[in-house]
Amino acid sequence: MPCYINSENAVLWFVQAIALGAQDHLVVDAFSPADLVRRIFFAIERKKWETRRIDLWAAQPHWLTQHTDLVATESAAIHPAEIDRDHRQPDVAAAGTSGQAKQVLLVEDDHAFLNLVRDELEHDHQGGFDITHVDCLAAAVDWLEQHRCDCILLDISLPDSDWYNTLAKVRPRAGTAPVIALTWHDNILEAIEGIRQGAQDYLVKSQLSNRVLSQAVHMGLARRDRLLDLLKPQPADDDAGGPRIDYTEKRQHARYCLTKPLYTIPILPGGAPDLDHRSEGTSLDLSAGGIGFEIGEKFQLPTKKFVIGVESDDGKIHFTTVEIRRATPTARGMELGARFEEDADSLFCEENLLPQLNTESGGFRTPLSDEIMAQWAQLGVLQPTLVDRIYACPQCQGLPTFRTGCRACGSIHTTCSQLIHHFACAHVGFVVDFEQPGEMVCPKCRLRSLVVGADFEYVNGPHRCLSCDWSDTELEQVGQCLRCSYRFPAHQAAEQELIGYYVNRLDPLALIGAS
Amino acid sequence: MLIDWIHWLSSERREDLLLVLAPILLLDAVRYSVGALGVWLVDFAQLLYKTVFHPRQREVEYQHCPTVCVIIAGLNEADTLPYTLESLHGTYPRMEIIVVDDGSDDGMASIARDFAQRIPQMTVLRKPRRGGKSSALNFALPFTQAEILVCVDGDSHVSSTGIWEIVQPFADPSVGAVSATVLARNPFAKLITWLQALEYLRNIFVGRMFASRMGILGIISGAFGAYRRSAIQRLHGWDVGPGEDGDLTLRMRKSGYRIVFAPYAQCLTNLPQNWWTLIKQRRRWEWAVVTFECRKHIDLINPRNPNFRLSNFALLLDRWMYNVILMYAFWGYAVWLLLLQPRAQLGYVLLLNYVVYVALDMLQLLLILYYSTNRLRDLAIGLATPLMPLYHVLLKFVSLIAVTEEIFTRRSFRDNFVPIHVRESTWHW
Ligand SMILES: [Zn+2]
Ligand SMILES: [Zn+2]
Ligand SMILES: [Zn+2]
Repeated sequence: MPCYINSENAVLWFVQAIALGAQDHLVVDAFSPADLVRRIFFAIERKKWETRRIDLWAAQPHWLTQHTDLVATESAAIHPAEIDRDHRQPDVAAAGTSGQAKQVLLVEDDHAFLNLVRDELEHDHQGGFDITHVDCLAAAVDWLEQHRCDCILLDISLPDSDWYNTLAKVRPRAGTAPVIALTWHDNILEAIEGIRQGAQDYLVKSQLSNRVLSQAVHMGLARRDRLLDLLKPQPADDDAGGPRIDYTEKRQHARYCLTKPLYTIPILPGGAPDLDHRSEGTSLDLSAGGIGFEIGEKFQLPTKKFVIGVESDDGKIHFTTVEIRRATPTARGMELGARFEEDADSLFCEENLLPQLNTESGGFRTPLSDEIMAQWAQLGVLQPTLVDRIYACPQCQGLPTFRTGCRACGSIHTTCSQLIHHFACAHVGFVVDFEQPGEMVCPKCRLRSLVVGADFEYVNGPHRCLSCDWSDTELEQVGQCLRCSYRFPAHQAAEQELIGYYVNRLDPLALIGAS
Repeated sequence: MLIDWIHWLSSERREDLLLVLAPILLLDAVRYSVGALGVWLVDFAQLLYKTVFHPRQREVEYQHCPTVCVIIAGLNEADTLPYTLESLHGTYPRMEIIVVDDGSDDGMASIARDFAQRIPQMTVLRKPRRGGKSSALNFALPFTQAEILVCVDGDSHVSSTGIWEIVQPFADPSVGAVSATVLARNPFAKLITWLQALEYLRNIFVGRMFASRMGILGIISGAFGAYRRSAIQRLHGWDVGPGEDGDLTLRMRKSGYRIVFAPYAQCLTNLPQNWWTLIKQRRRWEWAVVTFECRKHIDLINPRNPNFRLSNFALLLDRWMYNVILMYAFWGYAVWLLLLQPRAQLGYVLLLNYVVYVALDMLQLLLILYYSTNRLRDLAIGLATPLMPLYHVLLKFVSLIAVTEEIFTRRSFRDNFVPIHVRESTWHW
């Protein structure tokens, strides 16, 4: 997501740059480093939001087929929620065409600031803004229900709502119109969260100068136009040889529908399966990114996560986790729109399925409790499998370390005398008795200049413990627990099997290929 | 036939008959039968004397109780070692045990270690590679301070009073080593073990009694024998074998210690169960006689040597006579008999020899039974007496081969009893 940095401060430049794909347009001598950082964060969050929009749109084939005409006129509202709630404006088809005055809704309770905004927008030489003003959230919602709108300037600290709620109420009703948030508080975290919730820009009132406001409005509109361009389907009589863009393919995939039943299990907070609400669902549509399906009962979803399973060609049921994006009550039950989760984000990511070393408790266990894993295993979603076998402390099952030591008390302090066996005379004696200045001499037969290997060999006497009176030919392997410090002979260690789990993962692409 | 033989007997002159019987009379009769008879006469006279003059005097048993260290050195004896240890355990109060594993690969050391968990005062030593029995025995020496060392084979079974009996003679400070009785653990397993069992009774139980009385006892069985530790330490332990037991005994005698026999210190050992093993064992014994008595310790007969003692001289003479000179004489006689005697009388001569030999063995059996602690078993073993002459002829033949090859080729230094790296660096006497 590139940012263009230009030296000319002209609105025309801004609009062109955005239309060509830039996320933002900064003027070299008119921004501070803090401003740059802020804009970059905004750009990232904005891009994420746009991507989600496109994904959701791709997962909504109904909506697509029903409203192709709307998409073709470049003005379809694309947020699925607003379509399902049927909050679209009747005259939306006329929106966004150039030359016509642009409807700007200004939601603002501070009248001093109101004049400042009017001043700036009405004197904008690109011109063509038709400003409507309301001073509370309820009025704004009312107005949006009945009018089409190109841009919303939203003071988020209104008397009848807090900022988060304001945005949440306005955003779904705004359709394709960019929402530009206005605030007195220069709080970067709040600002980023606002962008994440769908605001196009986030302006601090005290810093509005030099046509910042009108630039923001123009850029917001330019971004909106670009997004609609991307969503526009390719004309059928396009060049035969020309490459088709992804979205058309996505649309084709999105029409696939599974004939096989879909096993659905809601996930409770904490990761356990919701045994009361597992059911067999019907898939409605399917794409690489998500799935829409219907289940036969209505209930309050415990979390947004579901496990769904589909029987594959190999006769096994393969599972994946999805995140519910949309839940619509229907006559029979609920219709759910969901996005496939990446393996790493999923409940069944590798860390959750394999026993992990817990350094605090000094033992191995899966991050979720054994009980939860057993429930999943009982449902057939997870298959227990032997991952490894370890030796553990016989007292507390903690992890031990092993070394050699005294068999009786486990002490490390042992000695072992070294002796020499002189082959020729069969004498076996301590090394010191053989050592003479510069050579080895046998104390029994007086042979001199003995050579190790040819004339004699070293042998070890028994090991003796200095801590107790134990003595033996060989040292014992001694374990010491890292958790409870218990010492024990290695052969007494408790053998522990580490049980992990594996899941037959559902590959959405393979599913599409098969359906 | 029998009548012809009696006619022949009565027709022969006495000198001729003696000539015919010479091999028996020279080889074994004097040594065992007559010797045993002499011992018996002395003991019987003492018994009579005691019964007549000191009727109420009773011997107090086992007055001497020194500290004892039992050394069990072995190679690949994991199967039999537990029985040996079991037989020793708890039979003597001041006893420690050292098991030396001479580089076994059958887990002998670990079996001994398991045992050591139960028996206090038990040490297990393990040599990383085989170095021969002498080095294994020597390995135990630095790890004990006991007064008496008792060497037991890993496949032997010591009787419950064995240790007590074997330490009693050490009450006399001039005694450096005590020889004990080794008997068959499996006498009736096969004919070969039966014959050996009788031979052991005759040669060891009664034969050594005579040698000990005469002061010419020069052999201590490796399977069961006791040594004074101070004496062993003065001699720096065992030298390289085969025959290291006999060698150590001779060296002890050379340095002035007495060797005595404790007939009731008994140990049961597994005897070889096939002929080839038996022959290999006997060859080693004969080689040792040549190596040590005829070569290494030849200085025992030098009268100008300051350590010269008549008993040692007699011991060596006895060995030479019976193991070398008379053995050759026997085979010379056999050749003479076969080639020069009239063919017709050959049968008579052999029959005469056989009858006399069996008769002498019968006499000896009676003496064995007199001293025996288990008369029924020994009588059963004695039933093999009629076969003994044949058995002895066979062993004489083994002896002929062994002595000859050792004299001329020093065969013992090519023997696998001692591992090759030791054989190559030791002295070839
Ligand atoms: Zn040496
Ligand atoms: Zn210890
Ligand atoms: Zn522990």
